[in-house]
Amino acid sequence: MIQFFHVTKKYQQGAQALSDVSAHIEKGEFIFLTGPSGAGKTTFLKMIFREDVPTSGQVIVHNDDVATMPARRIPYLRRQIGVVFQDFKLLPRKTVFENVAFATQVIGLSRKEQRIRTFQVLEMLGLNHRLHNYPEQVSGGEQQRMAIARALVNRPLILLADEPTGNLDPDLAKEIMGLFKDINSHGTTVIIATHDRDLIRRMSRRVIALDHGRVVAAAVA
Amino acid sequence: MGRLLRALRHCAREAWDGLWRNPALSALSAAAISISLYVLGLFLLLAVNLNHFVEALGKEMQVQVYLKEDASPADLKTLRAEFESDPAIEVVRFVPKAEARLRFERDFPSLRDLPERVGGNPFPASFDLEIRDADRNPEALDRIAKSYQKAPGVEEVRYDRGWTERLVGLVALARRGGYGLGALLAFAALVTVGAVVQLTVLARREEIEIMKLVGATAAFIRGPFLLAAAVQGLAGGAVAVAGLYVTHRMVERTEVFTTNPFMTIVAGRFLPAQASAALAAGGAALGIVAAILSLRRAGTF
Repeated sequence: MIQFFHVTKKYQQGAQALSDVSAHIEKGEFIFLTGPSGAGKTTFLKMIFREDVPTSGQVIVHNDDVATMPARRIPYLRRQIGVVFQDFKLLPRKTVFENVAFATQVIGLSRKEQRIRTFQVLEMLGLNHRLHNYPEQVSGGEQQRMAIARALVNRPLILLADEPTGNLDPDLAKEIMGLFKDINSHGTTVIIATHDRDLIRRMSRRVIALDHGRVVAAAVA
Repeated sequence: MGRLLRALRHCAREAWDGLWRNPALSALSAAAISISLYVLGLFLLLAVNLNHFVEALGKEMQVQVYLKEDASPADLKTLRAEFESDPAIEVVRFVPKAEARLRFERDFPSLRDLPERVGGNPFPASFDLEIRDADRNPEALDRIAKSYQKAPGVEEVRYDRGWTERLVGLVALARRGGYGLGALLAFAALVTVGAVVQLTVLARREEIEIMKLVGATAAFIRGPFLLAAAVQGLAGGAVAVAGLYVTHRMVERTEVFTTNPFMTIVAGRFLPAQASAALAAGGAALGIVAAILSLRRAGTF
């Protein structure tokens, strides 16, 4: 489903975010991407939804070379990938409901379908009592769940999450991880970037460990 | 089909919201377009009127072929036949010497005893040629004059070339001036509208970024901006046409206009409907071009 072949990414300032990274991720897998800050985790994720392209090497998603994909096809790639951003990227002037519904509107669903799907996913994430609140009126954990809801609302085949438990207390973190497991059990491929070793140990899933842009270990923790 | 309709509805709704999110900026865009088209329109108005005048004048414009005193009846017959077979000549009229003298006496009554004093009738007989519409221009007149200059029995071929050329030149000048100044102002409008679009994009940068990340197509993102710019341009163009009409009516009512026939020449009629429609459409086009250039620079393309 997702394949990295000798992927290297150099930035103009000379910094090397990824060097010669190869990895294969199967459909329906649950993967942890780990390593210290600056190891290249975020760059790795960005390559998958074509927010970034490799300097050399290939990234293949669904048998498509992402880097050489024509610009007009990028939106359709992204519709199959839900992304939970580290900084959430919520719109401050839209309510909880609107923030999530926004993603369904963008892909051209009918109004009715937009509402149905948005309610469903907000209920699943326990946010149905927060529909009309604005992001600044809800807790950090709820904002996190808003971000996850938006990533899931279009029923993606792949879910990417960048440090999704970074600023949550351990109980909440556990709850969120349970949610990801649930989503994964329905067939969605899940890739989670985190430096939280405890979390990885508890979950016992395949791990791709990065350091200084290199894969240093790929094993089941 | 449903999807396309929904996309169009989204586009219209977003464009409408965008226009009212900052009414002052929207008005600024429309005004910039309006001013450039108004100035262009003023010059076009002048050109239209001058052109009309040239045409009216041209109707009276004739070529006169003056005959030699010793031109034979056979020469006259040959000439007439040639004129009548020339496709550029619509009407051929022979003016004998006596009529030429009568004409002079009628046009210049104060000099009516002049012919007597110079001894007899100094006026030559002539052919007056009325030229077909399509050939009433300096080049064609020149060609006609040249082709009969050397014909037997012809003394001189004359037409008022200076007048024609000056008028045609004036019309071209008014038009060029309009295009030049209009282009300059259109450029200023382009920059203004572009800056407004860029401000709007900047204000909605976060939203646009997220739209891209969740899979919005480029058309979905840009559509509302383009539609809003087109609406602003169309409104600006319509205001310009309305302004031109008001200006035209006001000039028509001034005293100078009613007492000075020259004013009728330069401002007697309004732009034809197609030109008015073209100005308004031009406004929409200007808005769209400005939005495209600006969206490209803002990185949404």
